[in-house]
Amino acid sequence: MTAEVAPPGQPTAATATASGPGRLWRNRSLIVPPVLVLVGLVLVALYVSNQQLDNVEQRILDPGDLLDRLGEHLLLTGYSTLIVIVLAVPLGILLSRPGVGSAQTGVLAFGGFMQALPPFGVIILLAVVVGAGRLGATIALVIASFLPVLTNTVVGLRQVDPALIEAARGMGMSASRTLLKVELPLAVPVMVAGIRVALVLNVGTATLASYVGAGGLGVPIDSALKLGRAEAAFAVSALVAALALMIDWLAGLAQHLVSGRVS
Amino acid sequence: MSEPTESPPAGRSGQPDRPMIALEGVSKTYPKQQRPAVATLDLEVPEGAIVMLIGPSGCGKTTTLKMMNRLIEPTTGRIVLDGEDVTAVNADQLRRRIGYVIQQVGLFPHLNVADNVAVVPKMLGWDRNRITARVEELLYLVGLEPKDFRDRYPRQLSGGQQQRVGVARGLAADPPVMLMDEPFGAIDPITRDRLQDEFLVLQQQIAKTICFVTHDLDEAVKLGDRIAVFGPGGQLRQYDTPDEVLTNPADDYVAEFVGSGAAVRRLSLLELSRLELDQVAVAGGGPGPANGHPVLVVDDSGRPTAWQHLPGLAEPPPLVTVPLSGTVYDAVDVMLDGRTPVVAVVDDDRQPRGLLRWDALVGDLRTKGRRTR
Amino acid sequence: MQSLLEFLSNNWSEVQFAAQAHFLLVLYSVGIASVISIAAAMLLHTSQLTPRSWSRAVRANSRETLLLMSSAALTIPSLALFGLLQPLLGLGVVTSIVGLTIYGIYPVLRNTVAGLSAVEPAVLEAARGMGMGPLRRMVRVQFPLAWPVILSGVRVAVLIMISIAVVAAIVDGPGFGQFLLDGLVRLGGAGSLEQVLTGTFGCLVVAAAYEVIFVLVRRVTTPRGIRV
Repeated sequence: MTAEVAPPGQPTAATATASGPGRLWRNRSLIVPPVLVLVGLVLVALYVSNQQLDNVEQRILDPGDLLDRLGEHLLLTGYSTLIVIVLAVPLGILLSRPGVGSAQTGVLAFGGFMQALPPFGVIILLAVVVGAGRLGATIALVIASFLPVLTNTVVGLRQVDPALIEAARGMGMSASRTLLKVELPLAVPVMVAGIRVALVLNVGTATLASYVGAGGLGVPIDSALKLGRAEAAFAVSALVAALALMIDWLAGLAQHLVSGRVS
Repeated sequence: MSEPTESPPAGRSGQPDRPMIALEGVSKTYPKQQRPAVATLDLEVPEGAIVMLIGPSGCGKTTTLKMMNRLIEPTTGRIVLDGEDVTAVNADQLRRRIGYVIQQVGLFPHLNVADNVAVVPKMLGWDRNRITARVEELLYLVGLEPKDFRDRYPRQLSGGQQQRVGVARGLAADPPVMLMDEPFGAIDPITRDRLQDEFLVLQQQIAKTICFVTHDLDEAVKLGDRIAVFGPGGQLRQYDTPDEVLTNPADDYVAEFVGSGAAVRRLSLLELSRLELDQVAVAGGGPGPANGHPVLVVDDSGRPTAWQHLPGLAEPPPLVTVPLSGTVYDAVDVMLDGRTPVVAVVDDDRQPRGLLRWDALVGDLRTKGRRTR
Repeated sequence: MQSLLEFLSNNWSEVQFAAQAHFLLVLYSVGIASVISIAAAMLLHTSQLTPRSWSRAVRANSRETLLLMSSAALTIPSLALFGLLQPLLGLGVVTSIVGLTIYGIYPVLRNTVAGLSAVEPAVLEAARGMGMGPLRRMVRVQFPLAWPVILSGVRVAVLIMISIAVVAAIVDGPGFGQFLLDGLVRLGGAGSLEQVLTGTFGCLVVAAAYEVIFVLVRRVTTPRGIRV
């Protein structure tokens, strides 16, 4: 559970607008990842197609099957992330209200330590309690990625300049209106960063969810490893890695767009 | 290029002047820049003298200072330290022989005061006892009680205290030359004034060769034995004693730079001890109404308490005094404050030594012999 | 609760062994990751240790690139990363250590770079003006001042690694992961809950042990002048 580590997808604040190549270079963190990912995938695909695959491997690497797994993976990731947003953001807003101060620091300190709690363990625990399958896995993913979104919501709202809030209330805006029109928009960049972390985390944990019967791309990896087909496992792992990097990149784009609009 | 407008005075040791540090034909032009940051100059710093480098921002005074210890490498010219050409020697080792004090001090936060001061001696391999003794000596010299301060950490010190440690650190290895870059610039005016006074006292004791960058003309006049005035484009406009710079600015730029107030500033260069003061008589001593001299009433220890009689004035004015160790500027300040046209000059025991009249300032002040500064 | 305690007492030696293995696995990995990251960050911050031709901009860009690359590693799901490593390195401890090390580089590198960059320029200028060479400045001034930040980066790396280490069991790695897999196999059956609880909360115990170590290390190694 990575509550605090957010990959630096933000491009460095490029104030000058240089021409062509300069601009490309400055925004390289936006453009490079998908390019590298595609290149990597192509290489892996070429490698695989050059190998002689036995029956087992062919079954594992069947494109139709893989596509199904991909779908399951995305659904699981998507649902759980959505639920996390719906639950954690309001809670975060609540916790950031004045008067709840000490609870804030408690939550943040707790969150730091809880990065050591293994999502894999949570998944299996829930499978034991609720039973194997997608329900347990979804709940587990929600639990595992809850803290990053919560923490970032609290922090994002906390760092809004108090002077702005004071100005808004002074103008006669109600508390809820201030929240909606002033605080939340300014907190959004930090919150989106937290959602991005949760998203990436969920992609990863969803891979493990296959172990409790929730489907997803972990299934072919698991089969490959159990049957000793190292290269097939490699190939699917590459696919999963590519998926995670692409989702991270898309989230980074969204983050960039949101931040751009606010500032 | 500029030359000093009078022959260099003898150094404090009395030996014929050999500069402790000299820049010969030195200039600095940054790559891709058209104009030089510092135009070619020759600057000789006499041993034991405080040379103030002054000018507006961007005129090259800090660059010139930093070329002396080669933090900035000169584009042309030679740097000569105590007769040795150091333009091409190992820069790090050179800097261990030159003290360097900067405005923000830059004390190492993770070391205590003693360790901060000891940095260069340690690099030079002094043995531990020698270092400890030296640290103690230096802290005492800069006005910090060693017992109290040696184990403190920079964050526990005020700005003024930090800079004192900075100066001690610069002096630690007893370098022949000290470079100081606006060291009192970030300190409040009251503390700064005190530090400047103590600095002068310190210099009397240690007689270091010092190059001091400042943008404050008052500071330059107060501390400097020589002033080097820099103009735009890194041009050295004038290099002279403070008195000369104030009285005979080399060109319009310098004239404007010292500007209005030059005459008033000059007053602070004139020490009362060098003046021929008017005589005063003491009441109850000597014949008659004191031969037309002003008469002071004194107490049992001989200290003045009031004027008894001043020729030309019906009513004696209130008594104000100024110490003999002060300057004419101090005397003027006291007279203005007391709104009286005369001031009695007293020595360290508060015995009267003479009198200064307001009209003498715009008349003629007679000095006893030439100043040897 | 009762059954959990029973389970623990019955299997105490395995639990102990797993705890030790988990602890050591993280220790080795964070050690290697720290050495690599700190060395790289220091090298890239010290002008004389990189080839002459590398200007300051090049060094800054290299730092950024390294940071990007290592953060990409964090994005890759742990199972996938182990899956990528195993054809080359086989199954077992080596793969586990290598995988964990890769994950640990980003937190330590990021914090080391941040800590080194945060040292006040005036302090470095004074050091340079006093005749300290680049290497001495780094070792005597910059690094000690950055140390608290670096240490907290190592702590984050440790916490992340403790959590990921359980997945290493899938590639035959040591530690508490094995309990999880055992519990998984017997899902719904006797003892599986206890297995899973032990595996999951064993990680927190290891984390607690590390927290104690960090507090001690921080107190002992942070120079008094910069106690936050």
